[in-house]
Amino acid sequence: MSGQRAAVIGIGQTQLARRLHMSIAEMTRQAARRALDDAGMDWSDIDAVVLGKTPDIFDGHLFPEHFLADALGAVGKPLLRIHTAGSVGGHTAIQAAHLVQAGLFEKVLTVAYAKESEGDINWAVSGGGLPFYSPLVAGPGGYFAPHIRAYMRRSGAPDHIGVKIAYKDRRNAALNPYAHNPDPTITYERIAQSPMLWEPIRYLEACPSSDGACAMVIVSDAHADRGALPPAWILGTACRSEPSTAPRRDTINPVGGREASRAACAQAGITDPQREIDCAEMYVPFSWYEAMWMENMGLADEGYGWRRVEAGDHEIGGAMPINMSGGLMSGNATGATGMIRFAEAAMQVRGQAGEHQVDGAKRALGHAFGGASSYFAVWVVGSERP
Amino acid sequence: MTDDASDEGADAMLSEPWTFHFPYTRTTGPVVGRFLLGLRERRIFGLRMEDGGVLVPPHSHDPRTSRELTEWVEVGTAGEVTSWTWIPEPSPQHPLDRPFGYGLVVLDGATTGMFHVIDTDGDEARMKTGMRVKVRWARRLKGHITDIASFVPVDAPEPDYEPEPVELEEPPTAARWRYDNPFSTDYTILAGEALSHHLRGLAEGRFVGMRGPSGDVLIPPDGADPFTGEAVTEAVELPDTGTVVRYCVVNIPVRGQQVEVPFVAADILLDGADSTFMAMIQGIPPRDVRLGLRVRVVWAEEAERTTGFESVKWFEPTGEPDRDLGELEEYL
Repeated sequence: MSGQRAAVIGIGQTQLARRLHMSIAEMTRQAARRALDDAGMDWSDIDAVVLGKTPDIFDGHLFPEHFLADALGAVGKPLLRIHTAGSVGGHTAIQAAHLVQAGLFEKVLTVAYAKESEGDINWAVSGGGLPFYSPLVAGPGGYFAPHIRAYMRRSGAPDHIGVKIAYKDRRNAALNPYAHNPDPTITYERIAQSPMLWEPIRYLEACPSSDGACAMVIVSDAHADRGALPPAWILGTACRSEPSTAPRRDTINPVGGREASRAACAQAGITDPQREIDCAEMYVPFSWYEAMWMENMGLADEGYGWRRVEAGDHEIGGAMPINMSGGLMSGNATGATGMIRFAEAAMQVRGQAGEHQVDGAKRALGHAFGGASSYFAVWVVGSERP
Repeated sequence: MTDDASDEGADAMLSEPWTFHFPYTRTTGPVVGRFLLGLRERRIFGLRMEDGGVLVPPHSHDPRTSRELTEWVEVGTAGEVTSWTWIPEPSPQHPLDRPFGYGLVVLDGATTGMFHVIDTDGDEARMKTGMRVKVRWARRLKGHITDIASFVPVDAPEPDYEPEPVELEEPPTAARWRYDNPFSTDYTILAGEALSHHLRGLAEGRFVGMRGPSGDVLIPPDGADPFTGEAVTEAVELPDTGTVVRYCVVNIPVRGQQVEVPFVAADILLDGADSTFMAMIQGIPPRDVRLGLRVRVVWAEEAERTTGFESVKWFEPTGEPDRDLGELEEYL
């Protein structure tokens, strides 16, 4: 990676839930304040702010940067907004990292949020009745379900893999203090017996819809030791996109995701992600996608994602822990979700993840995707200064 | 702005007016909530800023330093206009149907300007920077910024009504205050040239795709070849038949969908096409749907067909033998 070194020294999250007792300004400030406290900084220490949010149609806010500039300490400073559908939180964090790596700023605050409770996400995902575009024939899960079935056919994965992943994520969510309605009494049977929504996706294999915010303070080498906790060094970052309707596109193992992981790992000096990455936080809205994205990110051989699940590798104590936070089963605040994955990866290498900490995690991968598997953002963070 | 007539290709494109509308609900949080509920009682509250000034309307944080603010201050309901603009011809979305001003009003005891409507009975000559104004309360007080109907000159007569708070089902709390924020914007949506070919075909009960420079036939076409980015220009008529290459069984009702659950939604590869699109499958029990199943479109009745996807009702099995999956591997 060329440019100056960058590290995460502050992380803040809010509860994932329907947050009816705070405004968007108050919710994003809560995450940002927690990140500043973690970094040992105040608003005035920050040079620039990079903001991401949920798609505009979800909450009806078109210019969040206008009404959040003073709330987020950006008065008189550059404030950038990033917009890439569901992957936005990942892209936003990467943009903040690039501003530091490029040497433009020393201390950047990055914030991403969603206030889904102010709108109606199912209506919004359907496009609001825009003329000339094909309606979402089967609802949001109905877009992804056929690709899951295709993965099952291609890889020979048995039917219960989705249940097993959801069971692991829902148990992990109970260890995450920010999780949306976690249930420590969850059982495998309850997930297996939950209603089939979009076959093969069951109700408890799908994520909830949440409000929430996440923030990080990303700084240059000179400021990396300011916080009480060790920094998470940003070792590699990559974004890729691909057109959703391209003929013969591989929607199960999209080339955009594969290339993003390969590029981020190459920058981090990683040649064998399965051996050199200790754990990963990935954007898994429906549980089956964990097995698919493990392959896409190079964390399992092609066709072996489900086998790693079957072997229990994805558990916190396993060989390749995935979504220690519970992933999206601990809440999906769309605009924030990608940044939460990136932040949770950084928390692991800082030893900051509490009950869902992976012992001795040194290198972690954060992943976000958006649209019809059209946008990908990946970063690799590590505990050792590169 | 480009004149439509000079916009090359505009004639070949379908366009439709479209109103984006959604009733969003805003969550105010405790600070803005307290301000709005104060209006309901015809009182105006602000917060003391770090420089000693008073911020009205208040926010949870200092506008310069971003630090949290906590000291509440009640301010007056009259003040001074520090800046203004005039709206000579109000549109239907404006709050008044006669000419009026928008201005910044610094209320007595406040140090920041509140942006609001200044009503001088349509008389621009009465608008002055430095003019004294007072609140004209709305007839019904809802805990919303429009509880201040407008600001009027201090010597304006009082209205002939007594403002009254709207009754609420339970006592309001500032921390959980919410209000409706219907959002509505008018657009004209252009389909683009390539998609217009396809949509006009649908209205006639025909599938029309577009061939791109890479040789692929795309349906529905979005105007550009996804591999080269070049325009797709050659319209290609396609048959009514195709093959199921991906599908799922939908067990929950989908907004706006007329058929009963469970139903199958499938990605269909039309014969002669290279891209797929999603449609419903009917005429076969969901458990019998499979990859490689041969299907034919069922068009809507001619009178019901439009230049939209409603023209495709669904697909049904043709009864032909399934396609060999080996030939479809690139799509599976």
